[in-house]
Amino acid sequence: MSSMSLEDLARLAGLAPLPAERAVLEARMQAVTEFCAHLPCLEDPDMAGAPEAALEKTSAGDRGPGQGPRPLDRDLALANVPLLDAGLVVAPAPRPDTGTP
Amino acid sequence: MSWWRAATVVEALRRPLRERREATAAMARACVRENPALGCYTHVLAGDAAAPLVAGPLAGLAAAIKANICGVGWPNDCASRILTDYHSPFDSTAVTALREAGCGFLGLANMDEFGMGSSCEYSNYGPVRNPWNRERTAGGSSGGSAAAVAAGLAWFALGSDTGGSVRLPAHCCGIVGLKPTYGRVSRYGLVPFASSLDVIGVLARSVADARLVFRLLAGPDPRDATCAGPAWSADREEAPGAGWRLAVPRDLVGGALAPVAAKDFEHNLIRCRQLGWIVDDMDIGFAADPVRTYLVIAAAEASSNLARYDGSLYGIAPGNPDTGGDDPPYLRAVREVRSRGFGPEVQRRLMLGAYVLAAGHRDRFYHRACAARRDLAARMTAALRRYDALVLPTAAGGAWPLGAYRHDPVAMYPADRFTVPASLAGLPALTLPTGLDDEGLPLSIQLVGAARSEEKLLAMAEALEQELAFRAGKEAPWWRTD
Amino acid sequence: MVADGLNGLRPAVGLEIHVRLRAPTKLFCGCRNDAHAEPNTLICPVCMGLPGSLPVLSADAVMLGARMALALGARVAPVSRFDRKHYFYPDLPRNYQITQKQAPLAVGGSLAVAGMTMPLERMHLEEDAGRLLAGPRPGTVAVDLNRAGAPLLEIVTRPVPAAGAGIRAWLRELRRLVRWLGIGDGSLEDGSLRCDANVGFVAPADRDDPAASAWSELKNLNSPGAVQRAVAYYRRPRTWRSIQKRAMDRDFSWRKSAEAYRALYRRVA
Repeated sequence: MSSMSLEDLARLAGLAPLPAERAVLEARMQAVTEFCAHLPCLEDPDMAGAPEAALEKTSAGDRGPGQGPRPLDRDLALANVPLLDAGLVVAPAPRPDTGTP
Repeated sequence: MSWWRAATVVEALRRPLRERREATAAMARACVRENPALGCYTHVLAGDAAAPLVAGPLAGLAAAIKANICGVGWPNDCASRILTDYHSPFDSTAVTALREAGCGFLGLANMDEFGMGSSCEYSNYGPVRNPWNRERTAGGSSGGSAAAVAAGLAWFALGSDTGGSVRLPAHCCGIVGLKPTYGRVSRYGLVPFASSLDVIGVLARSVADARLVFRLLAGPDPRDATCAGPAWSADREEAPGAGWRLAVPRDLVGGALAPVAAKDFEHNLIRCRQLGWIVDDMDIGFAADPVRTYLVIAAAEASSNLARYDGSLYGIAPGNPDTGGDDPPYLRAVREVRSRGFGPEVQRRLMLGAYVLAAGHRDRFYHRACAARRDLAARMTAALRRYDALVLPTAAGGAWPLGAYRHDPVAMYPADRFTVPASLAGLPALTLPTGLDDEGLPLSIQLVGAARSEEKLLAMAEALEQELAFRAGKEAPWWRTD
Repeated sequence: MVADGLNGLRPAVGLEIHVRLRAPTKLFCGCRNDAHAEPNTLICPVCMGLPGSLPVLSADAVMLGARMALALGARVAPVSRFDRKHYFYPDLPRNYQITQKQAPLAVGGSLAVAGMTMPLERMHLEEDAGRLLAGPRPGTVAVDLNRAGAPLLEIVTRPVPAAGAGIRAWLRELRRLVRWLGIGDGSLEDGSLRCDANVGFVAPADRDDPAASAWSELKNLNSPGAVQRAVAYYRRPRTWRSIQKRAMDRDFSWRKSAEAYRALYRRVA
């Protein structure tokens, strides 16, 4: 079906794996894989003229913990990010991810 | 029985403003009284929200607003636990339009969490019950909107339609449901499920009511880059005549209809012909399954749109992070709050979305489904150059029993089989109630028009509505105790 | 230029330069684009990523980006698109960044400085993230979203044979151009011009072993001594591996062209 495990997918989706749902999900992924494999092979996916939202094209494949423009600094305890609020911020601090290795 | 129980907006507007205000106040009291049994509202509103002192074309009337349409003065939790007590600081463009028309708001309509469902059973507030039969589904995901309008607990309602979420509940509850063309009504302030499919729609007791509300909503919006309008134009409203040409895409209809529904559908085609309309059979020729195409696209876009709910800026706060191995605490906190805040159906779809978008999968899954979608859209658009509308059923039969799919949620997905084609193609579609089945549950017919042809679609539907002479307000038996 | 201790591999470098555009507003909302305001005073539903808000592209940013592209001889695409790049991080309110992956604003172009021509891969618009600051209590982090949604132009170069001093001069010239054209402030100090270097080591032609080549990324090299440092790191395998581990996967930027460069290098070396 796929080299991705359910645990990998849960991480991508920002969820904890649901053991009870494993069978249902695997069946659905299998169904999607088979369905898409049998889709008529149409033109190159060029979105021009389609009704999709031009600014909101979903292309989410790069997501993943630790990936992205800045590597995560694992030493930072970010468990509870305070509510966004003007005045809440106390002191400027360097971005955690600007230092070169 | 109070007159307002079955009256349309158009009828109400013929009465003096004072009578309308009194009726709406009585309706608001009925909402408080009757909502516990129906579950159509997540929150019932009162005071200025329900009865604003604003002049306008809808002054003295009030609507139900689906809980995923933002407005100041009420919680916008999308029937999800993760957005508990979230209050939007801004009005959606649609709500602004209603406010400016003098319209009040009776409550937030219950729904499937974030719009993901066809039966309104996946709500943090429990299921919506169908006013025609409380053991049956009101349809989803705008089931609360439809039940409120059908039960006389709102003059009309706003819903949202991603794959049929306005039309299926309208069908189940025997009212009119209009899904506009993608990009004709602003999505600003609609909490997104699948951005390339989502549309704000209208649920009403008559075609004329739906038109009245749609006229207020249609038009370009500088805050929604995909909303080009145009505004309502009388020039587009061709006079209903004998010359409408309809086509039945037989391959999309298939053999899925229940016998009673099939009989009703064919009977309605005969009535169309009796109006002097041409009704041809045709095949769209789409090789894939529209429902599965839809599911791939909707799951992908949902998993992206719902990524923002992480408990940091709003919604429920993170609890104790899970034991996520060596992941950083922030990611563990995100996982904990999302796993606790989203219901199981949403989590299923987010997982599936992650699967079809994961690196290396997009070309095989998401992009192929998008290509299939464009093929279907091109075929339907081509057909609508030759015909004024395509005719389809809305659902395979009357409203099904609540809990019927409890142990096999996936089996419910085909409930959208007749509604997803118009969604995938971004075309306007209208569900019109046509009669009752042998269990006394409403049936309907669905008209799909060319892009931005709502004026014509509504004219057609109104002519058919008069011919069929069925209206929920006249037939519905459930509030005779009033 | 065979660097000593590199096992015969030769260094090459590709740059990703982020220019914060001097547009009056953020990229997708009407908030003032100002790096120096009090925290969280320049925010709105769109750049906070509140449910139901929608992005609307700023024409100012597009015009500034196009101006830069034309100045560098790039081809401005008649149609460009935006994509979402997903990762969970607290300075990113929607947990995705709106950037351009499949259809960038402009492609190609080059900038020659003192005899060194740096060919360009692409230029695209994207939104900046917010800033993380020390939180009110130990172990917490506060978020300032003033910068979230600020308009950035990312300029991606093709990889060229590494020569540290030349790259420094090249960056200075690019910064001069950015300022002269009024594209941005081009200040390295406040981050309105940021440079990341992708440093690679390429196997020479007679050793056709892809595994022998190694690529990694060094973040935010605002003092461009990247190459020399990378060479130093490469001599210490453990450090190098940890750098590689932290490198991000950006197949849309320079990595693909790095492969092309490697092929070219093999032919000429």
